[in-house]
Amino acid sequence: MSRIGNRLTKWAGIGLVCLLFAAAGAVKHYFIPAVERRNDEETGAWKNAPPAVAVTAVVLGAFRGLAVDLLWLRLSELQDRGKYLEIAQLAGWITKLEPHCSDIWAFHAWNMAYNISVMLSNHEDRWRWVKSGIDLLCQDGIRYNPDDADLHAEIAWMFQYKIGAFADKAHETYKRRLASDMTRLVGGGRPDYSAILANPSRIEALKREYALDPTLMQKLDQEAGPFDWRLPETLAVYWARKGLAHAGGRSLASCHRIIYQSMHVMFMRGSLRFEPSTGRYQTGPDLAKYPRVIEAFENAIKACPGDQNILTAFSIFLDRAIILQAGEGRLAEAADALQRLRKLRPDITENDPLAYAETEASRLRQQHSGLLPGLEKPLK
Amino acid sequence: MRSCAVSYGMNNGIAAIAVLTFRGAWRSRLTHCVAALACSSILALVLTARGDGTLSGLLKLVIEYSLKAAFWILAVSGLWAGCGAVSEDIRRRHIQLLAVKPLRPSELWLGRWIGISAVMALTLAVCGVLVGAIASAAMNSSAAPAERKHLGEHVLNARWRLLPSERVTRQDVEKRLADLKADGTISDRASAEDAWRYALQRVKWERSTVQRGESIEWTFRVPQSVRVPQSGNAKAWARIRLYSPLRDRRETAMEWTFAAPSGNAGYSLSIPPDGVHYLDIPPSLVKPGATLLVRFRHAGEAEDAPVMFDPDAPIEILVTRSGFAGNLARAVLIIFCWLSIVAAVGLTAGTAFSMPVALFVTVCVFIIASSSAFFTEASVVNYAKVHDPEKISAYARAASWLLGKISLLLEPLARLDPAQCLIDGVYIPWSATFTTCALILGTYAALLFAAGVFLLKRKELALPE
Repeated sequence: MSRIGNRLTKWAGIGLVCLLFAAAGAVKHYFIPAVERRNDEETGAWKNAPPAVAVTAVVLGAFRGLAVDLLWLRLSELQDRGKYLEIAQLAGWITKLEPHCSDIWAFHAWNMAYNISVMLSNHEDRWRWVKSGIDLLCQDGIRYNPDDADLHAEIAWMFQYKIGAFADKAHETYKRRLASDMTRLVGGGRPDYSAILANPSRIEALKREYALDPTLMQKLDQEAGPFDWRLPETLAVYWARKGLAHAGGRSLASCHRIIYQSMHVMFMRGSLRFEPSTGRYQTGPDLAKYPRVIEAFENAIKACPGDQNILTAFSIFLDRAIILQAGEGRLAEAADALQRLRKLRPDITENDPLAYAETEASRLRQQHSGLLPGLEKPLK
Repeated sequence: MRSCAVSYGMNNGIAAIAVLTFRGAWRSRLTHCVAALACSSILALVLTARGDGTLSGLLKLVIEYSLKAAFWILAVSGLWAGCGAVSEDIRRRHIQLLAVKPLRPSELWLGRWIGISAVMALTLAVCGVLVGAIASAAMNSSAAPAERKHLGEHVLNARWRLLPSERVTRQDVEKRLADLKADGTISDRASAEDAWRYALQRVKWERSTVQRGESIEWTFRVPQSVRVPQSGNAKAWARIRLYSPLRDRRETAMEWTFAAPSGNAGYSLSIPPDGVHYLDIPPSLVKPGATLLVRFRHAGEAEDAPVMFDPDAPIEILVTRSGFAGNLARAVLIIFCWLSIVAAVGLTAGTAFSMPVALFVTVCVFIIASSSAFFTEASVVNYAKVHDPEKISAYARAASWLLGKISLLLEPLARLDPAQCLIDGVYIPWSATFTTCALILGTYAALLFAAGVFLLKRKELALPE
């Protein structure tokens, strides 16, 4: 090409560049808000992340999503083949690459605690996976999403249902392991907070093993307790109450539901006799919880007005409370419960708590083969 | 060049070029960074790895990930070095200095390859030592004695693995296929491939399902090469893999009999018919050249469901052979052979193209090759076969065919997974190590060498400006 041709090409190129710059300048106001928003999100996204996670995420840039996909595919493949060795590690990486998506945290924690645990026949192996699922949320999920009420509710639900309920055949092992851990950490069912708060290593151990803050535990005990911290329901209430501070809408109802259900369960079988050396774990009704359970239901009704589920649950609780308290000679409380129940169910005409308890108990025994619901399957 | 070769006592251009390449790489900061990165990634894994909650699980994860991390880091650096070795010589006009020496293109290519491989070997050896040290530290850790015992027996061990000689033959599948077609289980519209796969699975499942009161037998022919140590530490296990589609099945009574010319052993167990179980058996039952007959009888009660074994690996016999260190060394040797192939790919590409182009091409080849097996399995064609067979485009068919061929071509490389053997405590025999290395170096490296030399001979070397 001639010299003039070369020069012409050069100037044409410079001209094109200037033109593109001018065009970009003309349309920039369309993009600036989006860019600023994204910058804010990105800065916030890595606010609580350790340097290694932040650096990895920034280095991967747009490939982060691709990396998550590949890791997730590997995890699914390994799980299908029954190879669980890498699952916790892969779940840790996936969640850390998308640290602010609470659904991802919840999915992987659920997967480990529910799906993988039940694939193993050994109950101690199962406990490790349940604990891994809880740890994923307690230790990391909450660190990256301290204001996410759904994650708090997920943790609470794991304690309440996975450990506290009877659905898993290994539930006795879970309950014993939790009670044993908490006995070691807080010295029994009722912690001596002054001793714990004076000892940094005990505070650290509580945080490391169950992400529990003794100051919050003490506050919870004062406001809604006293609680037996060896019970899974107590931990469910702890996490749900923590979640309430950030809850709204659906998550508000979830947190309240977990609280009143757990309180109800503790009323039915919250008195625990546990011997770590022999593994003896025996529960019985904790009738002293009655006013606290009422409080929990009233708080839920106030926070979620018009929620029929809460009213139904409340009437079921009151029904059981009348039977149990009348049976134990706590007639004042039984009468109070009956009074409240009559407000909820105007069809009940019986005024005498003892008579109501007798009729209702025989009806329930007929329905449930001689056992009162909530007291069935006691641990030996 | 000649004086250099003489000074090393090797009247050989290859050695001279290899030494020059090694020396150049050894002095390079990039090599130091790569070595540091490989070692630090292993240490970082130790600090951050999250296993299944047991010491054995954690160590297995650390060993597997460490070896994989070392492989990938060294593979990328080997590709880089390989791509740059000849192409940068050409770009910097150093090649003319070599071209005037009495060196054949094959000597230049081989020298460069050996030099790069030697640097990688050294770095990999350091990583191997680090992995060995981590394993040793785990064994001497303050973990519970039961955990350390499990670690020593099932992970940090090199055990012979004997598989049953019963195999599903072609005739078995053909016969079952004919039966299934005759009774209408397999439709005439099913493709031959799908029908075959279904019949094969049926045969495998039928053979690994035992009804109550029934028995099943496996025959293990112990090779002559199997030598059980005579020390008191010799141990043998039967690793039983049971499968259950249902969870939480109650324990089922089972009777196991192990019969060999040297003696018999019988066990009555009651275990959940699910998961992996180890059964300690006398090592004296495993004699070189002899046959070990294993018989299982379902001794459950009337309401017990059938016992199902894993159809692909129902039972294995594991016998103590030697320690972890030797196994690790053999695993590292095989990984080194893989790395040398990667360097050869880079070197050949660097002979044909300039550095950036060669790097781009080789990275693409590397990604396609390493993911071909996965994409063949998860290809559009496989998906469409099930969901919408009419809509498979010609492009999708071609891509699937190509990926399938690449996967087939690379299959021999993946036949022996050293990291998997290592974490499973399975002995990697020297014979298998040499066969794998010979296969890798004798075929793949030889082909790349031939291509590289051909390209180098045809390369037009411009005069220096």
